Amino acid sequence: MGCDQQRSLFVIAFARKLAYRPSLPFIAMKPRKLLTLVLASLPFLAICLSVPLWDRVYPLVFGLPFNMFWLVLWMPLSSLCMWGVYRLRKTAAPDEVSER
Amino acid sequence: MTPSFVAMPIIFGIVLIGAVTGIYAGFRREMNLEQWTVAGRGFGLVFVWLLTAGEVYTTFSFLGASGWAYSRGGPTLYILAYQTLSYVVCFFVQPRVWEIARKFRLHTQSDFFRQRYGSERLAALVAIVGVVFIVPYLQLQLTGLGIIVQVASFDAISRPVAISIAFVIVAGFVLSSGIRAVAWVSVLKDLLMLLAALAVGIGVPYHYFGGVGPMFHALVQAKPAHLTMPGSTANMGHSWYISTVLLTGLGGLMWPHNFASTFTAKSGNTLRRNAVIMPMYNLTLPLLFFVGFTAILVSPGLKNADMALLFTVRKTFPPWVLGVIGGAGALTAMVPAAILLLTAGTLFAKNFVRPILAPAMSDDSVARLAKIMVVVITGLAMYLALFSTTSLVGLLLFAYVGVAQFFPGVVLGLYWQRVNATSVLVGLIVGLTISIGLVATKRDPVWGLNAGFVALCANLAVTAAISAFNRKTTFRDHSPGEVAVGAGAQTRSA
Repeated sequence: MGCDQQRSLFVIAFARKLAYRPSLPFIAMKPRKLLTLVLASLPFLAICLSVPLWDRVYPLVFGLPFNMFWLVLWMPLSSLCMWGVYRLRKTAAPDEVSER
Repeated sequence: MTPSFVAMPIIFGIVLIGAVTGIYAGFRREMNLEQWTVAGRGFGLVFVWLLTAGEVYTTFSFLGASGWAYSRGGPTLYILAYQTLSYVVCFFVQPRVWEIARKFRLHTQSDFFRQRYGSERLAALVAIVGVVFIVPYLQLQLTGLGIIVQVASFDAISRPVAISIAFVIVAGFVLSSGIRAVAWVSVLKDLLMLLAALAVGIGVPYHYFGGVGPMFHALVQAKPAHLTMPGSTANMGHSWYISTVLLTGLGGLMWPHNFASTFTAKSGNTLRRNAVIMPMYNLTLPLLFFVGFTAILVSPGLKNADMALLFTVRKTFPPWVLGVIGGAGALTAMVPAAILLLTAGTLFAKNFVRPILAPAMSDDSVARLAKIMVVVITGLAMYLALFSTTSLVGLLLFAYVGVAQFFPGVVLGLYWQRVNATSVLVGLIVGLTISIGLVATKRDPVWGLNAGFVALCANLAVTAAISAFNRKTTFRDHSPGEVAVGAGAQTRSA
């Protein structure tokens, strides 16, 4: 019992230690940067790298073959992702953004 | 009344309105180099959007996208993907490039290379390679314009006549108003293209099948394999799709004229907001695909797939609609042609002739020479469009693959201080050699991958490998002519 608790405490402490190591770029990223990275990679994952998963005709959606529907769907969704990145930046450097 | 009698005045009317708009755009402004090439760096979101939309939506999207949908099917979908991803990359890259351009008063892509790497020779090479690749792109616009106007006027206006008239007009408004003309004519062009795409994309399937859905149902029955990759091709499968989307998405930003429109923005944020909204603009592209897909069922067996859209539209609609589509198509060629001409002229005068032949030239003489070059390049592209028999899609493919090789020089240069002139030069030469070699020997796609993507990977690897041994350099290290930035300007360094 006690041993287990101790171990989990150690794991948390170790994870924290890892998180502040600058040599581990993905873990050490500030949440905002990490979120930016995730949002910007989503379109790449969804419409480029995952092509074998969605490249088929059925089900037809709104009369479109599924692959075409998927790509059309990701046009507004990509915009949305990038809008998220834009908002994140805005909270990071508000004075710079207010200047048009 | 013959159909050409109805269509012709409409085409001429639209082109005339475009011409007047373009020439008037720079009215009563002094057209120095700064105004002519980058409009004094004062464009807000609307104009930057118009410029970018103006240059991505060319005759290639109009005729080529529907043509590919007709002849190849599934692989055409890459067009829907790459432009979207291109703007994700733009969001991060363009504002940084813009900031540097503003700080050091850059006008061209080649200026950027000179500023970053301090090598006139590298910059001159980038300039001349850029011009060499712009010419086939320009030729494509000219030929596309000829085809559109000829078909839309029911053969009343022949191809050479259409090409000559249009390009005298384009050269005219580029000379008088520079990049402002491109943005203003783009207003008319985008509006008409939107209308034309909606009309044909929804109208054509509706006319024959009663809607887009029933059309796809019929197509799936008739040709079940056409709509997925590799469609009606032998080797354009999923690996080809991924490599092509990456190459065109990353490499498409490296067109020299893309830099010109980036530099016109009044702030980095304008570019960011533009990158956020640009993917939505692609929503009109599937409409053009619909026409190509319908054409498979209603006009099968066309020899030239690029004619699929126009023939089907001519079969379906009354002459006045053809007139509007002809006019819109003509402007769709003229707007990108204008910015291509402007960029090629400036690159040649400022980054090739001045550093190599006449270092003492003033900015005003550079602007004059650039304008002379606009006329010369117009002539050259017209000659090629009228007399060359080379396949156009082949030429463009070649150009796209080639231009993408600038990617390491620009993007690695922005984020990694150890990249220098030598590593970029060697990488560029390796990339160009491989891509030209593969495309010229008809080995594209190679191992199921886009040839340009293979070349770009080699280029990146070579550039990175050499850079690892370099000392650090930045933009500031090569700034003999650094100009003080005006008050209130953004000076946060990249």
